[in-house]
Amino acid sequence: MSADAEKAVSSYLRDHADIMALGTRVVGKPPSDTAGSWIQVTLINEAPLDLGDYAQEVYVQFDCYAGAEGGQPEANRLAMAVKSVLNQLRNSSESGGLLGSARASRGPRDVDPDIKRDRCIVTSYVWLHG
Amino acid sequence: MAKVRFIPNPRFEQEIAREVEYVAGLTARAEVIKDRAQQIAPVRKTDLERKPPPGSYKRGLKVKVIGPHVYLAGTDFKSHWIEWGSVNNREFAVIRRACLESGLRILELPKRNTRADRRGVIEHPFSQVVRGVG
Repeated sequence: MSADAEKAVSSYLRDHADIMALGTRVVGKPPSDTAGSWIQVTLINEAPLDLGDYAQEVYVQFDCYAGAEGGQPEANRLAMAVKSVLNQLRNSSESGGLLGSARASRGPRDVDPDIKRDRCIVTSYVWLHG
Repeated sequence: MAKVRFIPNPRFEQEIAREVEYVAGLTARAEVIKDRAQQIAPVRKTDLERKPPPGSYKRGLKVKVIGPHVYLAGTDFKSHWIEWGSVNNREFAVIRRACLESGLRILELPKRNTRADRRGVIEHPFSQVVRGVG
């Protein structure tokens, strides 16, 4: 069975103590209430390595949006926490699949042009099983 | 049999990077990825009478050689939004998907190229950021 990478990674982040301590939300699409901060998880591509359906290597983008008052510092804090938590990942069983490990790196930091909100992007390879 | 002692050259990568063939090889690889990126680049299907015609992002994908570095650059002003998305626009990740589909592994730079930032373009320096995996 193929794993649901977005669901598994979101579940891992949502339940992690370091992310919970930040009081942020982990979502799949922009929330209707944009007052607080949020982390949006998007599956970019399944890398073309032939690992079969059971083992997958996926490439995921994490948009770390600061809240209305947080600004750049909050976006940075979220991104650093996401990167750290992902790089700590070792064999975690989640509802979307069994996560093996991840390698995350910080991407660009910008202001979302549509809502003028600071955002920091983290991208990561994630290895998981169905 | 004579014993041979191998001494690694710590400047090996820098010396290779100065070779003409090195840049030519990277450029050829970048052209293949650019072709793939142009295949998957989103083009608005409406407003065909519009001037300039749709497809400015696709046409704006260019391979640039600056010194020993080879870049696949999105020179259109919308490139950043198309690659990374925004609250109201999904991320198409055209350049990153083209790199991944070409069998490359992407290593993000910790900070964006500030010169490119000011022009509103994204540039992936192949010699630093993207290395082949096989």
